[in-house]
Amino acid sequence: MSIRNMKQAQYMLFGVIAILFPIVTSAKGSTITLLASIGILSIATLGFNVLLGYSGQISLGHGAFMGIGAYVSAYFVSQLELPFFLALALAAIIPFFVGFILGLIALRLEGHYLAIATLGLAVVIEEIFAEFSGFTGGWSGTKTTYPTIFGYTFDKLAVYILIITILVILMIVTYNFMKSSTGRALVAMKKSEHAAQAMGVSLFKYKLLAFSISTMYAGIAGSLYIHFFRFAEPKLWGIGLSLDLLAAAVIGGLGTIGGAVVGVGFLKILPTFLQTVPILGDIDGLSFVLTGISIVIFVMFYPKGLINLPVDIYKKFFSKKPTEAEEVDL
Amino acid sequence: MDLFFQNIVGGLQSASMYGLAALGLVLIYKTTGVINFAQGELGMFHAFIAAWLYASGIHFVIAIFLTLIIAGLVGFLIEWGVMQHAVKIDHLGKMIMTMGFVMIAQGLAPMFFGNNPLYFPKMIQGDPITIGGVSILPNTILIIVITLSIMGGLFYVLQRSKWGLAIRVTAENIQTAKLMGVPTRMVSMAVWTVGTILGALAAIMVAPLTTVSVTMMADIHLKSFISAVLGGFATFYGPVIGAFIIGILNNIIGFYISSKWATAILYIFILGVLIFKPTGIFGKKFIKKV
Amino acid sequence: MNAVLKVENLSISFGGLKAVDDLSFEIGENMIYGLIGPNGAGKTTVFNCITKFYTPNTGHVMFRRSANDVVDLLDYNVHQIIGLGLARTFQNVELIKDLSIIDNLLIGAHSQYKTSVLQQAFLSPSARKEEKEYREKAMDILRQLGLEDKADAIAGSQPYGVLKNVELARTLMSSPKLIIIDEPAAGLNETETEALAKMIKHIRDFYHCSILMVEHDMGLVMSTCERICAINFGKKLAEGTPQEIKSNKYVQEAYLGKDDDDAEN
Repeated sequence: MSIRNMKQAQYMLFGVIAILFPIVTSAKGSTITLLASIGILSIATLGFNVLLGYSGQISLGHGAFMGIGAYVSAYFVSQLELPFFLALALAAIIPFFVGFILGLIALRLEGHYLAIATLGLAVVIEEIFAEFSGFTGGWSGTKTTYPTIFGYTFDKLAVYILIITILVILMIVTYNFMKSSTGRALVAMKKSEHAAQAMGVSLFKYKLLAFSISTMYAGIAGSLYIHFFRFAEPKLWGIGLSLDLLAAAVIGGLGTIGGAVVGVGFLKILPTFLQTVPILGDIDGLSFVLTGISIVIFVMFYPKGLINLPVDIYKKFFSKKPTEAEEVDL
Repeated sequence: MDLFFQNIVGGLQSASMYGLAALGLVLIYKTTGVINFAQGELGMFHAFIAAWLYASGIHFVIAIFLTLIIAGLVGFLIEWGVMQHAVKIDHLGKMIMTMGFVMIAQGLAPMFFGNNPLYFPKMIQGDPITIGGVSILPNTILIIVITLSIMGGLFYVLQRSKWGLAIRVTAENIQTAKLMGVPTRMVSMAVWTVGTILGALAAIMVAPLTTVSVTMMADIHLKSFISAVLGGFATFYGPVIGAFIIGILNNIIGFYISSKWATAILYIFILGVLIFKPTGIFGKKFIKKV
Repeated sequence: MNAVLKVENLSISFGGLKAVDDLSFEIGENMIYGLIGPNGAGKTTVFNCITKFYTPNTGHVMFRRSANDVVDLLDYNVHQIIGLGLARTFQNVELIKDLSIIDNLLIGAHSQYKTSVLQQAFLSPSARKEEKEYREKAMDILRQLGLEDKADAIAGSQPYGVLKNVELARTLMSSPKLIIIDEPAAGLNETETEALAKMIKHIRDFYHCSILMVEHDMGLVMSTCERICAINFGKKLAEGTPQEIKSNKYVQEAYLGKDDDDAEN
């Protein structure tokens, strides 16, 4: 499959550039932190996109699943002194199952029920995290260390490279199953439930699968978060984070893989950019407002998302061929 | 036993707030198919307006009325300026748009009103009075009375007036309504206006209890959704009854078990409802046409 | 039972309205079978009952999956029907507009795929082999229908006639024993309808399956169907060969209205 190989190369090239960039530019710690945040959130958004962009389901609770992944990972590394990769695996598996159970309850009905059920999770999770203080460190938060793999303790840059590596792997893996019968079933389910059912797609099974996969990705992102920032508290995992994922997915481009990174990039860089602008930088909440407006505008006028913008601009202004309907860039 | 009734009364107050918000939710949902996830945050924004007006020296009753008018205007503008142009967008997209509104409201509040919580007074000050062994604040009575009146009024309009008929027909089947000459566009505008006002009113009622802050409505917002799920989205009265059940449960659980866990317990409860009676107490199952 | 499909006493009501009333008919092996009736007769409702998009109130839909295996479709869920060997099309052509033609066909084979998500995610050899197999099958079918050069075209960009053929092609991907087509001639002109008739017969002969067709176009029905069931108001009017149906007075009544003897005088 030459297209697949091209895509794999594309993602790997992106990964290489992302890894080399801070090294080559001798970037400051704060830049690496920003880039790492983008990487972490991209992983979570990638999963979120499988849920929303491909299967057409909304969750407002993915922040909570990131939190679960983070606390699981920190607990197993710092309290139980398990190897990091095992903790990471658990940070993937446990949110998968929690999502599976929540999905069993909420996914038999129309989409807005899942949104409501996950909204509830987002609201109550803070209190729940605070309560299980033996596990999460309660309100004062929990600390952990940079990962140690094969005796070698990572530093900040190394964790960043780990994040990007995992991101690229997940991008490739996601591309693989989205281009297979599973992915087609999810797309069919989003576009036409009747056709999907007639083709043998059990809506419930596939909604459950998409949801669980997305919570698994969120768990992985959570683990990487806590091992990069080495600290987390219950306040982080509420509805604000979930809305960020939604914004990133929508603005970047629903139903695309690269869109996750582009969307998160937009989300994270916007506030940083605004701060540099003289008057605007002082206005509180401006980035929220602009992000919210962007969501509305993209949904209404440009659902393909930022990632398709360069292609469309090229076609409109530079290409002589009549614009044919083209497959959305994955 | 007195304490129990005390909690029932407190529960009625909670129920009032959830009920107003839930009614606003289901009004918009049944007629336009959109679940307005921004209901709570818009209410929060309007509470800020009320608090700010009050802090600027305006008498709080006038501040409330002005705010409600502004809320109506905001709801109207959202429908007329945005939702109207999104008719071609599917329900999923419209839900996402309302989440965009959430972020906008969350950003506008600190932008206009700063980061600190504001104060808003109760509508009636005064010491608790005792009726039949139960001690109630006059403010609480007022809240319950206002809510019941408004709901009563709304239901009367829905059942008895031409406008109410237009809303009910549109809620039943928008295509048929259009074919029969019902002004569905105006119905949309009306329900968004009314819905936003209801949300603002709920927030104003909460304001004295929690102070006006960006997160003030999160809990109520969720509980209004829980009420709607419990009562079912199929009817207008369902969510209201659901709100009364949830409101009373909320206070009873809060008192007898734990107030900080009340929300979590109600959440688990609603998950249970989703398992056994997913369309709610008054829900109806639809067979979709293939 | 020898028939591929045997509908027995099928009934369904919506509210107080009986949409299908005690309907029975039988489709044989390698047979093209027509279900006809005036507008609102309940044909699509029958369809949806057979394919479990609706759940009938009474009756059985016996389906012969293989030589010794007869099942009642009503015992199954809607998404299990295609796995049993029964594929359908939709009146409104439910293809996925954002995907390519060949991807749409591959969705048709979904029920036949055996590899798991995990295998697909990591491009296991069996996943790759399976995908290759079904891709070849899809290209094969497209070649048969003369559509192979459109394989990678986006469905949404193609004209209605092509889409109808693609939907038909999609049913073949699951190697069905019975294909149910909902108004295949809708929106087609005479030439296209003739080509369609040829294609339907070719499918029956080449793929050894039976075809149940709901259709209004009498020309198509009469020229392709070996047996026909005519219904009105959800009730069976007649069942038989095209000739028998044509000359049946109840059928004529339903389509042309009752003959008013007095009007002739």
